[in-house]
Amino acid sequence: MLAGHELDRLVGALAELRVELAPGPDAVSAAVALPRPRPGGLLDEQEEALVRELGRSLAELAAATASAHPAAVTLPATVMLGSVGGAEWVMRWTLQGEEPERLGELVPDFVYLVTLPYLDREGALAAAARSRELIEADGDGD
Amino acid sequence: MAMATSFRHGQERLSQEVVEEHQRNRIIAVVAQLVDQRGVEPSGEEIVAAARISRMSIYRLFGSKRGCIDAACLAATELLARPLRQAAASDEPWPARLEVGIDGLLEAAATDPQMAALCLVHSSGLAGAPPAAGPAAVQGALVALLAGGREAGRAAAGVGYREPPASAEVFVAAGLVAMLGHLVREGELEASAGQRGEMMQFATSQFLP
Repeated sequence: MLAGHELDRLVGALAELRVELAPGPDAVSAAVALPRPRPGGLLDEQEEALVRELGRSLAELAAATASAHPAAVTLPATVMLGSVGGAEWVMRWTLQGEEPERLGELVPDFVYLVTLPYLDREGALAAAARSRELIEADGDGD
Repeated sequence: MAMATSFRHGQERLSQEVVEEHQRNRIIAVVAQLVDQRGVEPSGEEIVAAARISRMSIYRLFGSKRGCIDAACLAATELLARPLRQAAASDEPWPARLEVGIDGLLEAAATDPQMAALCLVHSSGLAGAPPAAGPAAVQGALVALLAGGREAGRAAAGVGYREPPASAEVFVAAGLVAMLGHLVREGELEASAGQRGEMMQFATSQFLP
């Protein structure tokens, strides 16, 4: 399980990346509209809240990236649902597993997954690498 | 004469096995229906009433009510995982075998939406559901089916291929589980051609150039 300040660090890095990738549009409304069910019984309330918070940040990142790349609007909404929903499932299984503290290390991979539908592969890999830098930079400052 | 008697006994045993298998399947279908209607684990009394069986039948066929719920979760998972395993074992090249698997997955879910919902939507919320059941098991079968995506990507892109992250298969499989879970929850499993296209697009874009 991540400590509260660790979660804040990850969410902060994702918000920073969102502004870098798509400085203009506000993606919050598109992200809020994304259906994100909560499967019962897997996690406790605190862990599920963590998944929701990180998932919301990823949804905002995906929506912002999509809005900044107009060609991407032709993609069906289910693609974003798959990438963000998939990331949330992986978070849940990681938190249930033997090394839940490694969740933070997966965030750059989540970034790749949710931005790839709207960027090319080079762009998604660059976004993942940038998220790693932002997370590490914020960690160095603690 | 001895052979005729043995044959008759064999027929009776076979008939008994067929009857019990039929009963098991009926009870499992009732469990899936009750869980889907109420979203919670049904009581033994509710299962007995809905399936029109005696309580003893549950113990005889499943050992306990817990065994009955577990069997239903495992059967629901097998319904969805089987076509994925079959496709993964086929000789079709990738992504054709992925398409066969996703087709089979959608068809299985559309054929029995309540069983699909038991596996993907409800099983994780049922206390003590077996680890081999539920979305994680379907995701595991999808990971195996996604093996071959990188190789197909390398073959298509040549030396310039940029490898996706090591965890891409796990993420994509989880994403496909999320997409199917959404279709099951929303009762939108009918238009499978479009759904297959969207799932294929999501999965192949992670590996192919």
